[in-house]
Amino acid sequence: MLTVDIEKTYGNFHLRAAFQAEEEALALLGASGCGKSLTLKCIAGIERPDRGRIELDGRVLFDSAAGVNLPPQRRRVGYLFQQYALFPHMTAEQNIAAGMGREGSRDQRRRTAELMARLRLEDCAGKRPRQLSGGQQQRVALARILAADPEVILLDEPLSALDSHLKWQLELELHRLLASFGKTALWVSHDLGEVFRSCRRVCVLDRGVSSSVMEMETLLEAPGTVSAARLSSCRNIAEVRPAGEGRIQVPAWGVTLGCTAPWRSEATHVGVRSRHIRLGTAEEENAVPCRMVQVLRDVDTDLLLLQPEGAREDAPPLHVEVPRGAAPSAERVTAVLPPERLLPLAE
Amino acid sequence: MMRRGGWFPLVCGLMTLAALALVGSNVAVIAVRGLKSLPACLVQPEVRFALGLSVKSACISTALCFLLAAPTAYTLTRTALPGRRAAEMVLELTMSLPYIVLGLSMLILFSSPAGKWLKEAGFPVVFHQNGVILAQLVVNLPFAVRLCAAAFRGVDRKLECTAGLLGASPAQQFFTVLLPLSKNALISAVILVWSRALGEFGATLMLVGVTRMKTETLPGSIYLAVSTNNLDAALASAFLLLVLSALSLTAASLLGRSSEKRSRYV
Repeated sequence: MLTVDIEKTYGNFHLRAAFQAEEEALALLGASGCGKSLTLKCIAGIERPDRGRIELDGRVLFDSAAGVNLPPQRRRVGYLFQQYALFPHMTAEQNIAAGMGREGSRDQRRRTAELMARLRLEDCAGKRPRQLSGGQQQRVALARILAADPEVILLDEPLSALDSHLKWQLELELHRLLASFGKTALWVSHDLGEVFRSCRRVCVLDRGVSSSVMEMETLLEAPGTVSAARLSSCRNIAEVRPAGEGRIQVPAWGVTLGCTAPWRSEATHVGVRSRHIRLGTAEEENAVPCRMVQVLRDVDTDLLLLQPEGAREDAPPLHVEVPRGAAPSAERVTAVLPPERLLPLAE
Repeated sequence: MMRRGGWFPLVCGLMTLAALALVGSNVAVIAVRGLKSLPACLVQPEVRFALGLSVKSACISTALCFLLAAPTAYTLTRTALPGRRAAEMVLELTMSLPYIVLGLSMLILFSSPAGKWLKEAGFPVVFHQNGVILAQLVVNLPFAVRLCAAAFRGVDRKLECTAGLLGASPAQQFFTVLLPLSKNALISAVILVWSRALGEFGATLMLVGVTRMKTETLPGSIYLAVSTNNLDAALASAFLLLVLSALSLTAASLLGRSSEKRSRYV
């Protein structure tokens, strides 16, 4: 189990990360510049937090109060850098063996061979990193991490800046690895889609502040904050004012909407996912008459951009997802925002 | 070949010819006249002694220089040393100082009671061959630190971090990652520093003077030969220096080329 509770100030950026990861793959989700990588670097010991405590399976890695700050080489933390950081002057085999430190050479050779077989790298043993494909490079980096027998693996945006085919292959690779690892792994990403399939739980970082750890499903069904809703690709978010009797007023869209439950007072915004809005008639509850602005063809749906009749000039259009070919040709349509689909969001 | 309105390239071309003539004529004089008087001079024990002392002291001072410069450059580029800026400024300043000034300050330092104590302890510096090595060392040290620091800065810190996370101690990170990855740049630096040591004269003259068969290096030999009006001997020594410079230049450019070929890692 990894327990992190740290603070660090970097210029005018303030990081305040507190979360706990079990023996699981935990996603650390946040927009770029929110302090995800800094959090990982603090755990690895590359950066020193100003205050706080980091504990891994009962071992204290960092404790500002007790004056404990283990150097990286004693933390047993595996770190997968974005560009893998393979040693360019060593072969794939030497890179992997570098993770093992000073063991008996025969044992070392046996374990290197095992890892290379496990990650299907037998053909790459004598090659330098620059001679390897992106996928092979990542596998060598993973084998090197496993060779060091870490207690936790940190993945720093492992799939960003890759083309989609390679990305999918590497994601499958990582998925397999994490499933068999059996210890804690932290996967940092700005893309929910990337981590959704491999991590069951997620911690959202927003401008340096971490949320509580939640189930992936919770992030989709009740994200709770504006930033979490944005990260889970909720496209329709607007500020609200309570209008009494379980109703809310949305000035940007110029409407008042009914909710299923009393509106939580700390929720300053409302979110509605584009696939939860449907087209209906003016008689239905939460019907919003709109003007069609644009129809975009998505990969397997159509995306309608609608301007509510009473909307403010500067309000972003409502995004509505309909099945491919179901986009109406009418100039005016009625969007229905089902009360049970309204997400209360705190700023 | 001249294009329309191309007077500027033409003028620059003529300037280039003038510059080459100015520099090249010097090389030519030493190459032609030095080569002629070389056989006669090489049999003289003084010239052979100067050649030996020059090569020997340059080798020793270069080795000592990098023994100090590499850890210094490591400290300057890889640790959060307080007062790093001040240290860098001291090094920069000595680099731009005339070497004769450095020689003068060393003469004063080693003539002090501390210097005399060193002499009694069996390490004489002033008017001694040790001084030749020391002068070359002090003159080249700031230069070597700068070259080493540039070499170390060219290596991605992330790789050392990675080695650290894999369990390598700072010493292991230095010897297995930083040093191999800056190897080519360091080899060129060694060659450059060695050839500078070979040509060192100003500081050496101040600290040890030039005494025949005792503290006579090749540059010192030229100085002595000219002051005794023996131009042939001066040219022979100059020719030897020219050959040594050419050799080290060739070695440096060969190694430099191989480092350019080295592709950027992933």
